[in-house]
Amino acid sequence: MRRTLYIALIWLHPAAFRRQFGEELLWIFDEAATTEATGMLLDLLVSILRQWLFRSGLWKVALAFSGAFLEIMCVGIGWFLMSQNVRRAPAPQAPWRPDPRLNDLASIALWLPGIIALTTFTLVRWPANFNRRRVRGKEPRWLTKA
Amino acid sequence: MTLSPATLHILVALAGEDRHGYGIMLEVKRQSEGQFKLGPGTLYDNLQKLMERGMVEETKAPSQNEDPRRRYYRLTRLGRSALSAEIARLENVVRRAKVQLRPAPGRSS
Repeated sequence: MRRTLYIALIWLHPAAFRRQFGEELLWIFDEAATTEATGMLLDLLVSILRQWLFRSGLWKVALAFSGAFLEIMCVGIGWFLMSQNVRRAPAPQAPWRPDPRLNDLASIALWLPGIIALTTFTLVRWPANFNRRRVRGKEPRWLTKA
Repeated sequence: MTLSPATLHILVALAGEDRHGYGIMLEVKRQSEGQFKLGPGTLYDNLQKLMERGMVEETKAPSQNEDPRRRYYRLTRLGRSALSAEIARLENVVRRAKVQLRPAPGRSS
């Protein structure tokens, strides 16, 4: 049961790490005493987070999305505040028309985050670039069988 | 450049002889008298980092009868000099700490 769980945890690592160290990780589990199994499982769980967050390049994508989200939020808040000011202004004789600057803001809100996300994606080359650096050889047989 | 405790332990374990992953884990446990336990995930994460930096490299198994899943690792020249620099830095820290901890004259401990 623990071994199956351990193999599953190895599987959850980025492909490059799994291919490079997967067999050794399993060998260590087989060699180590059963008393250490729980600690090993926990350590491997932390390793999954570390590998995906810091080593695989996923953080770049997360950063791109955060940047785009922040951009949309800023423009949205700006839009809201500006529209509030327009409505509070003394009513003119002519019917109210939206400030043409709002259209510019709308364009920025639509295009800028898209350009940022697209540029970052191109740089990162999702998903082909993931783990490109360390991929070696084929997937081990014991992993492809599962 | 300071080394993390796990990295330092791995480099020290490999300084004496070439070892496989499990051998490194056991050696780290022995060196630290069981105080520092290195899990397999932490070990290979650090090994991967060290290999990328050129401080550790894979080497051939000492005998042909080894389990093929075992892979051996050894320190490179860069790894050895990084370890020496870190040890010198730590010695310096210990020396300063001893001076700071020495009781001042006239002050009872």
